[in-house]
Amino acid sequence: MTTAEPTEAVTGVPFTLNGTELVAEEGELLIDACDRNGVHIPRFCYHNRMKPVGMCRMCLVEVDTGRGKALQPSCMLPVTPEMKVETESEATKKAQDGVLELLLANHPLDCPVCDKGGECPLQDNAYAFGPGETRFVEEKRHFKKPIPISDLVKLDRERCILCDRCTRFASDVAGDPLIHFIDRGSQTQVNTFPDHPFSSYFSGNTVQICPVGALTAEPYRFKARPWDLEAVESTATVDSTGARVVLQSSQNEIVRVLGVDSDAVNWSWLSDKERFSYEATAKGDRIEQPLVKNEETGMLEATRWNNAAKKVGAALRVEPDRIAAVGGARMPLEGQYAWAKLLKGVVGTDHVDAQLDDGLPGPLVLGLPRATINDACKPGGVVVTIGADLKEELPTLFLRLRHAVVEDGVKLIELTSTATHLSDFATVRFDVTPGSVGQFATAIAKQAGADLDFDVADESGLVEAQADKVAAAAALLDGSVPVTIIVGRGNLAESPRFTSDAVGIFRRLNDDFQFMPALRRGNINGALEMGLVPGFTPGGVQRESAQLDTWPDVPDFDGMDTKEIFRAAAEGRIDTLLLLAANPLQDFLDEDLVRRALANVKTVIAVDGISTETTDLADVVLPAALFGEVDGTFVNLEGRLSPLRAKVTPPSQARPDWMIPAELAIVLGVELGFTTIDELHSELSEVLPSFADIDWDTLGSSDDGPVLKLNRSWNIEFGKPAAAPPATSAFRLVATRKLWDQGTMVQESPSLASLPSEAAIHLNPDDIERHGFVGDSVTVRIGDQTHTIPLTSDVRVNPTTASIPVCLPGFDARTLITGRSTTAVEIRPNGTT
Amino acid sequence: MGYLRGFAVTAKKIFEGVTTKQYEGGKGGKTDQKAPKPERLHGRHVLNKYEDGMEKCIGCELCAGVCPANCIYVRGAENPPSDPKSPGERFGYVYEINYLRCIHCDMCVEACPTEAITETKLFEFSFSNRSDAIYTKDELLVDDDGRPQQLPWEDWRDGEDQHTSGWMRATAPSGKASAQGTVAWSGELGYGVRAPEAAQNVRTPIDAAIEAVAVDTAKAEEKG
Amino acid sequence: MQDPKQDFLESNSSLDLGDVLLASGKGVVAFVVLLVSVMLMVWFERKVVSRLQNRIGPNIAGPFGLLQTLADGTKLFFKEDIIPTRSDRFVFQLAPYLSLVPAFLTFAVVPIAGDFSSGDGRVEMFGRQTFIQVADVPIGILFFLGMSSLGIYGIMLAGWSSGSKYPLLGSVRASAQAISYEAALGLSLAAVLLVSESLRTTDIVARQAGEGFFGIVPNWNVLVTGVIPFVVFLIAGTAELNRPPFDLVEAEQELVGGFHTEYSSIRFALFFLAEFMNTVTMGAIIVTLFFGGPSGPNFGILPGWLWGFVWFFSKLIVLLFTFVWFRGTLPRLRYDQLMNLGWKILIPVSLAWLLILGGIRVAQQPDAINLTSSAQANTYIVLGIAGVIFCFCTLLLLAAVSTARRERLKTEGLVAVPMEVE
Repeated sequence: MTTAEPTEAVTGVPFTLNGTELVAEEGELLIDACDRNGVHIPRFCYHNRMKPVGMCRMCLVEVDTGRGKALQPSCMLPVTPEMKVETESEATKKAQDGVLELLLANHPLDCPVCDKGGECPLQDNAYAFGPGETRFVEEKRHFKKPIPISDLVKLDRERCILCDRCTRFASDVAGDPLIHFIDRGSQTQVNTFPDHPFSSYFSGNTVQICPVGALTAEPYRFKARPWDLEAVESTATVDSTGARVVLQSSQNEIVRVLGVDSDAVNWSWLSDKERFSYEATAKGDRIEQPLVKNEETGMLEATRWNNAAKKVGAALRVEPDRIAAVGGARMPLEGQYAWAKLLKGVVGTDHVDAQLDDGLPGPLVLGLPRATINDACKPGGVVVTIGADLKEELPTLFLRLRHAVVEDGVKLIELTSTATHLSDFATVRFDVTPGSVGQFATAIAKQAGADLDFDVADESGLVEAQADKVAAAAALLDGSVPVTIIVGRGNLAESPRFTSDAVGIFRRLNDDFQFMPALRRGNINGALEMGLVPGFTPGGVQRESAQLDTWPDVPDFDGMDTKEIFRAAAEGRIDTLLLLAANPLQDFLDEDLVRRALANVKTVIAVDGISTETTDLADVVLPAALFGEVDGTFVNLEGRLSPLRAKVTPPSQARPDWMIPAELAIVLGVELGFTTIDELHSELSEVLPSFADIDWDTLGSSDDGPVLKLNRSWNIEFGKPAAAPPATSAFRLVATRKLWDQGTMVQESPSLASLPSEAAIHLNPDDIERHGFVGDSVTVRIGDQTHTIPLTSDVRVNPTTASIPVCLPGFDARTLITGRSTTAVEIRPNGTT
Repeated sequence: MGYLRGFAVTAKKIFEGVTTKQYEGGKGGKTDQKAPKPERLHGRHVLNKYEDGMEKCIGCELCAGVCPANCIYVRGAENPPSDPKSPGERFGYVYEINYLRCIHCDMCVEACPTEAITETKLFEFSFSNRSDAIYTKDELLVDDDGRPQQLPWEDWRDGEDQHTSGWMRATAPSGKASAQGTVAWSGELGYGVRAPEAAQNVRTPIDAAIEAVAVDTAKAEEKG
Repeated sequence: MQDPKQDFLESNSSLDLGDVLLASGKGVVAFVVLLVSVMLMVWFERKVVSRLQNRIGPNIAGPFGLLQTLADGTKLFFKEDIIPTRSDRFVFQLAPYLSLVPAFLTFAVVPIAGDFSSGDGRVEMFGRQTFIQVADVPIGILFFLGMSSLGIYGIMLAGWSSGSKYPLLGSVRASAQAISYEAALGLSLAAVLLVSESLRTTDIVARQAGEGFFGIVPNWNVLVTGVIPFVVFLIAGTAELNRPPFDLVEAEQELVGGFHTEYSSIRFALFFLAEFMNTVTMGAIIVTLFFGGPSGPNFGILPGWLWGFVWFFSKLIVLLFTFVWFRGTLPRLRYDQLMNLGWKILIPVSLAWLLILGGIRVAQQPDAINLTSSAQANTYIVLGIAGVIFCFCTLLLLAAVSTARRERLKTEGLVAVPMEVE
């Protein structure tokens, strides 16, 4: 039998759908193949970002794979060649009718009081595919309803159709298996373990994916109905992942935020902070009017914009060397560019820093070749994490990474300060003590064949002890697979130079290694790109070689970073200090220094949307609009641009961030050159080569967005890394961050304000045993100060380190941070000195 | 000359008396009359209560969603456990109807799952400014006896505030006639339980009573 | 019959202050009386129409709603006065007055009171012999015709100057309607004049004050001229006034407001006023011409001239009721029906009747026709000849009409033939 050879390989799987012959992709599920071809199969438990389970049986269709027709769940069936599928046959319709009738049998008649009513797949499917009337006349089964399974999520077990989506999400996607099915038969219910509430950082996602109103979010409960809502797509600005969201508002107030399935970024998942911190916009203590401090009473009084602007203008007319600005990471890109142009171009000062000394040096970050999240999560690749537990700092990135590591075979090498929630899946996990990451990096690189002409002495013996791990890591980093290094600031009590050193080593190891800066603050990548860094102008161009035609001038000196700015301010060398959406009293590591700085500066100008303790100490407060009130652009850690869209009106006199410097420039007698946001965009495209190809009008049309091409033409010289400090009897401090903290956005959202837990010092159980700590608190001594701090035993903490989260209620961990390259504390059992 | 007969018709009318009612909003004397209203007149709405005093409204916003004139604003809220306003989890926290927009189609009455909102035969909307025109929950809610509240500009006569609570359609939505005449919801608070409505083509004693009143009024007019 | 010229010279040989005062006083009184009567007429019309329609009518403003017109006028007065941009401002502002003034003036020649039963209606006022009318000119009826024609100018110019198409259409229709019925009006009026032999209104009234047929029925022109001129005059008068059923001019269903669409506030009020004033005046004229005006028996108690007023007023009321009755009963005539009625029915009828009357008159004169000796026989002969001519003409007319109709149907029939099917 001769058959003609196919001229090209058949790449798809041919099958027949309702009589039409079509081709599906390799390995594609039947339900997806039908969706792609315009045939919608109703489903409840199937979610395209989770593995299918076939629990609900709603997607039953009549399939003939060659052995005769049979009803099969299409979500569990990959398309096989010559499959014949009937989605409109009598049997299929009877199956759909039957499944819905059975689902509705025990389902309570809650639609009028259920949050999901109006957007409920059960309602829609019952209407489209289900029976018109019920035959169930008996008593339905009852549960007490609703029960709060966490502070943010309520569960109504009567409504649950047992689709398993929430439990699958919690255990497979989030890694927090805190909810599961209990009991059997008709009494099956979803529930938590006793005394273990569902306090996952991702609990809000279960509310979004639940097909009925069983899981409802407390902040949205009963607030509005779907037909009341107006929606717009935007980007979450809470952290630098830039997850795509949709803002829904009713009566000019944002009532809900949902995740949008962006294939490149967040896959429709959001952390609870991204999901619920919109409340700060509506319910926070907003600054509505410009405030100016009355000279006599010392109280801030509301005034008009031109008054406040005049005052600021007068303060900006001093020597550029005596003007400094701190902050700017919370603003949209346009605000950052406008401030950069005002401060660096018009006023001429280079003392501008968006980071509050809790990140990585700007020059380092700007010079890194960037990876996208998809690059990092490419199956078969390698990811190295240096820094913090991503689950606390960048939760959405954590979800992507977890999927990559657990499902897609990405190998993880952890050089983090504590064990993380990915450590269980890491291929190599190093016990890194503060100050030693550079050393580890050197050892790994050397073994991987890097050309390094120095040696780092292993005085502590750390590297020696983990030599096998070093070998394993070096084997993975041989360059045969793509490598992404996610670098962040894992330990606030440690100098960032150790992380810089490690980065330098890895860069010297292989030029093709890509990086992802895990800096926490919202639009910090935009701020760095826009030149809110000393020594740089927009576009990541160094100040000396800046060529900005539309700028009046460029600073002629290199500025100070935040720590130096505050030091200079405390000494009285700064006359005007601008705090751009920054709360250093809360966020800067040395609160005392900040207080002295604010006291010794002539004019403190705060530009913020929410009233904080810092704005109370300012001389002039300018109100800015917050998330959901402004149109703008956001740059995430990949360098991806995504749009920010306004849905509600800012209160009273609050202005979008970019308008404020434009106004101040006019007071100073200069035009910044743009009066609308479109003009600003044109200027960006004109002036910065990385923005030249951006089509601003269609920025939001796809869920992914363009990635800036951030190829820098300069390189940082990386030298020999510093040695790790020797081991002492003391503990080395690891100061971390937690997702729920005393930060502004969390505290100003009523639903989230009570979520931060009390600060406690975390020690490894072995250490606790060895040192004989008993009870639930210990005495910690640093320098000549002693503090009594609650104690928590945490298996994730590396031996000889003490981990304490900053910015939590209770003990202020910042008092333990000295500012030296690493911090050592002495810990004694409680009651002793 | 057929059109001369037309003149005869109009001339006769002078002696037939008038059929208009002299309605003076309650401020006139004996001559101030109101025409009797049909049984199912679409007038002002009320928010009903159960016999035990709990509000029927559960704040589900279905009435607002179905309203073609967008005149209802509802916000639900969680029932405070110590003082629940309605049976169940949710009650109507904000409930306002803007009577400048209302077209009295009573689709909200049809949509309400608990028969919380029903219409009365009160039709005097004589407010003189926009804020008075937005009736809030306090004004719409029936009092503890189940009677509607009288607003300052309303002119009530005897029996006008009756028949405020739910009316039942003669047929069920499924079309089955066996559901006809079955009382499914609670009765007319303050006035006892009203008989369920008959089908629309059936003449009931109420229809006869209305006609009798109309005839009586006409006769009185002729005499007086 | 007095020599008019002599009369004039005699009575006006020396004009002194008293004369002037008297004349002006009469003018003022007539002015006031007319305004009040218009107000009452509006009220009367609204009330009567309401009763014809089983309604109450206005009963809130004043007792029985008597002050309703005043309330409406006041409201109109306070409305915004809009003058359209494209209007001819001067003419726009002039037109209402052009409509209003002739309405006032026409009333000058109507005798309101006076004792015509014993005497010629003269009364003594301030030492002078005068009639209870504003002006007793020898050309009285001609004056009336002239003034009513002038009134049409007001309507025509109002519509044209508005600068808008519906008023223009309305005014064009109004003027066409007016001139069409003017002819019928004049011809039926001529019949009265034939009988009265004088243009003076006092003479016309005086002539009707006596005993007429069978000693009981008064000598009213309505019967003397045959009823036909009265009917024609009534219909033509209704058309002249733009009242229903001839109110196509201001029909809201077709022309928005007709000629007064663009008028608002006081100008509209003036048009409204003019229309009703014309109604009252037309009623007064009909009473004067056909029903003997103020003439009627004097039953004592009241002075004679006051009885005249009572009779005049009662006859006027009946006539005004007839006008209102027309309004309440008849549907509006379509424009072609209106033109049809005016040209093809009323004019031929009134003309024919005039000719017959003229013929009878001539026949009754002793020396005019010498067919037979007795006047009566002469009359019948004339009537007979007139009848024959009339029938002949009618047949001719009917023949013409039916032929025209057949021709028209034939042409329409030709058009209605379907096209050839290939």
